[in-house]
Amino acid sequence: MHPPRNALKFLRWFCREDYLEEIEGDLVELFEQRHKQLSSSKANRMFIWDVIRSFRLRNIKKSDIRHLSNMTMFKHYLKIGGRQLLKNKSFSGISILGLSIGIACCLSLFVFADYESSFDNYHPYQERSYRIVQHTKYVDETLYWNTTAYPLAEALREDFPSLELVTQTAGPFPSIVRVENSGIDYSFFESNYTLYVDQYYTKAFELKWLSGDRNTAFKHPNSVVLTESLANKLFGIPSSFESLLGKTILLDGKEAMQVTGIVNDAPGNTSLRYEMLIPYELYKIKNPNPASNWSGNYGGTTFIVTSENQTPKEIETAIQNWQKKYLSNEDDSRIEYKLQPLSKMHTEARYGNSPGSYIMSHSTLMNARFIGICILLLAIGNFVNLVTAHSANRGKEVGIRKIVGSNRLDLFKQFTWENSLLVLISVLISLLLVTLIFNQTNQVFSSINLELQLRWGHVGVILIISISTVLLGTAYPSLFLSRFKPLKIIKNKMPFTPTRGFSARKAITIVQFFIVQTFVIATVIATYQMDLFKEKPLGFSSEAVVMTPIPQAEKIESFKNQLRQTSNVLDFTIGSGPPMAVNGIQLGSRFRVPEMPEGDGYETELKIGDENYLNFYGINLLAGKNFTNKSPNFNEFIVNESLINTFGWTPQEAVGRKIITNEGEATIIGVMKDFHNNSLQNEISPCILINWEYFKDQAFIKLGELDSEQIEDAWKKTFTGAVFSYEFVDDSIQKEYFVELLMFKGFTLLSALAIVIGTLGLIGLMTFLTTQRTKEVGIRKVFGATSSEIILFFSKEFTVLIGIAFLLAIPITFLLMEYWLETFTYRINITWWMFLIGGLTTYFIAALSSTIHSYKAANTNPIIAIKTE
Amino acid sequence: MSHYSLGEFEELVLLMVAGLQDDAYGVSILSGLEKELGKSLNISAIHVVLKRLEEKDFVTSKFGGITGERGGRRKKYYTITALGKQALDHQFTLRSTLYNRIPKISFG
Repeated sequence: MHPPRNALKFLRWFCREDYLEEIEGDLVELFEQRHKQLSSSKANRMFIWDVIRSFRLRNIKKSDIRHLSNMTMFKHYLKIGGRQLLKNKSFSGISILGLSIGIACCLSLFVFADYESSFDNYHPYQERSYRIVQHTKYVDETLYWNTTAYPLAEALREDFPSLELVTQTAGPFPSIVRVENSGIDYSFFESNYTLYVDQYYTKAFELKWLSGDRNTAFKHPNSVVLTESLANKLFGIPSSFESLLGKTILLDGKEAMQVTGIVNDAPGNTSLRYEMLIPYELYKIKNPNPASNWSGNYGGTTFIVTSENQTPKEIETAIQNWQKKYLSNEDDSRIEYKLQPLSKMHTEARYGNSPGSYIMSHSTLMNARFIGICILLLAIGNFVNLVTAHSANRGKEVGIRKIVGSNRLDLFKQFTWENSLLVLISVLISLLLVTLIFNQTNQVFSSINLELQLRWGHVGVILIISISTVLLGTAYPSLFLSRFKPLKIIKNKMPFTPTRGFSARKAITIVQFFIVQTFVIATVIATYQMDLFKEKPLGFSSEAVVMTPIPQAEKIESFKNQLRQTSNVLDFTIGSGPPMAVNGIQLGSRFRVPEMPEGDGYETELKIGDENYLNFYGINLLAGKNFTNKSPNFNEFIVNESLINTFGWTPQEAVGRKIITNEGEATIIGVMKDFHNNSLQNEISPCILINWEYFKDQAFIKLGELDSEQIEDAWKKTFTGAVFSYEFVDDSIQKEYFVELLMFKGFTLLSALAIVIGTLGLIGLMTFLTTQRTKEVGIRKVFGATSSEIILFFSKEFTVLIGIAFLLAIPITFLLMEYWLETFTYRINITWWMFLIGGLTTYFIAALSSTIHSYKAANTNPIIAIKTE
Repeated sequence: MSHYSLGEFEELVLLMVAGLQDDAYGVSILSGLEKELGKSLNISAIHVVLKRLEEKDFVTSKFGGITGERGGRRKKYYTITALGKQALDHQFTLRSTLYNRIPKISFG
């Protein structure tokens, strides 16, 4: 007759000492009674039930908790940890270095993703504000626009009084500003982001007014609101911003504008950039045609704020039913207006970016976060490997501690504290690194106003990263160390698991190298894709070509004469836009043949160029002739292959036909060979070259030597009272790949860091292997093994590990990169040697770092090695 | 109300302790109560209440001697304190006063 042993054991384990005697006694007495009166199995059952019922907070041992909060032991652990840290400087250095690089990468990627998702999330009606985007459906494709026809806003305001706000912007456009009576010579300034806004804009969007009245600032058409930095450029730093109100500036050299307000600079995380805000009224007065045209898209953007109870779907349907009131039948059937939430303007790629901003797609940001986690895991794996490897030296300490009376929990706690100390130091260093990285990148990418910084809001992310690092990075080594058996250590047996077969350490190494190789192979493939961007023939030559604005169209001839006299100018042409559309500027129009009904037709791009445009850029004619050297007019079109392909004409057939654009009708006189008129992310689209008198706003000049001084002189002699600026066409084209380049550079840097971290991990592994086998190496040498044989013997192990990792990396990388490449219209194909390059690179770097280490082991005196205890 | 905080079950256990005099320990209290209440209780509930009563100074406790029963474990005997007695008295007076206010009407 004995109560169930396990239940009793459990009771004795959890129950606090001072209660145990009473509780156990009572329980046993009851058991004995029941055993006599009832059946033995029933008594057993009831005893177990009693034990379970007694398992209450009140009865549980409190000693563990008291033990944990013991400050003396905690201080002791810290002290020992600190001593270990200082004693093994190189080891601590390597582990802290690897971990802080990893944490810094992860953190910066997370902060980056956070910043990129914060675009335009600070406006007053954030949840209810939408940009109206336009889908234009054709039989073969749908075009997506982030701009809409100008009259849309006014019509919506009139016919949909339920909408809380409707506001219209135009631009941003580049413009030139002159300050009147400033008293200094250099009084011309360029502003790239002049935004025309109506009076509702200030209600819908967040502007911080430094001076001026937000309600009246846009009342008069000739008023202007400047940003702080532009105001400083124009007037110098003022005594007060109030003193600037009422001053006059000249817009584009002629329009007198009165300053009615100063606002803070647009923040970096906005897709709606501006330096200067001008009433939309003025735009309407100056550009009556586009402003009243319902079928064109000329850089106007409409924003609406819905009232509280409206859903975007509702409004979209309502607009769909209403739009035929203004649109032609053709347009009505094609055009669909959609509402895009403000927060998606930056992440939804298909609508493209507005001038001065860029798109960072949602999936890219998810990838960035994912890569961050991968790198952190890599660094943690590396840390675990290093710490575990190093624990060989702590075996004796563990043995003695256990003999003196430490239990496993104490040791576990000790090593967890020690490793957490390393993690803490790494986190602090990584914060420093992140600040440095952000300073650098913000400077490099100042053109897009990048404003990455650590803020208090990031404390959460930092904490999560730190805590998961502590949990993942310290648990295994601490568990491993606290498992050492004291007796074995005293008997001089190395406290390790066998090297052959599977072990957690090997698995970690494989995962590490899997991540490293994935990075390296992906970088190799991405490099080839980026090379394609740089090297792909574009169908025109723009080497040493600069473009410069022509502010006064009436002086074109005299400027041409100036250029002819300049020795450094090899050739020049006047027009609008280089062959590839850059800086987000493209003249859009529609074309149709006379047989097609009005309003029908296809999208096309207009390029303006004189008779030298084709020769200048080396664009060949397939049929027909170039513009003849007579005065410019609108009778003649030169079109590209893509355009004639929409009708299925051969080049010869096309010549002589008439086509009609929004701007008027003309005859095709020539067909030019296709060139990349869109950046390489997009396909070549229909394009018409016109020798027109309007829009000739740029001169393209081929330089002999890369020196702009002579053309600057010529320019300044011609255009008095304007600011000279120039840009190399090649540079502008490169800028089109800005986001791709940014990602590529970031990715290359990350994979370089991955290699560094991985190599550090390998050093850890080799330390482990060599210390563990010191005796073995000694004996091998005594029996005649040479140093090189020993090195080979050691490299065998990691070769196998890297090999396994490589085999795992191949399919994953292939799938990932295929997926990435599919987003490009013009892409490379993945071939086997790209993998080989990646794999071999990793292997050689790993071999190099580990050989250095194993060389040391191979060259120690065998007598010393054998004596090692 | 009174400053004695005494729950219903606590009151029952305290009464039991007082009634059993020198023989009040876990099992005896349990069986006594089970008999009076006519339903089965769990010993752990008694233990919890006893600890609580002890914290409130309504009872004191001491260990008895070792016997061959109970797996060699000593019994823990509880005795009611003066404070405990006061609390019971108070409770009793309160209840009888309230009870006596019931009008003597025949409910039959």
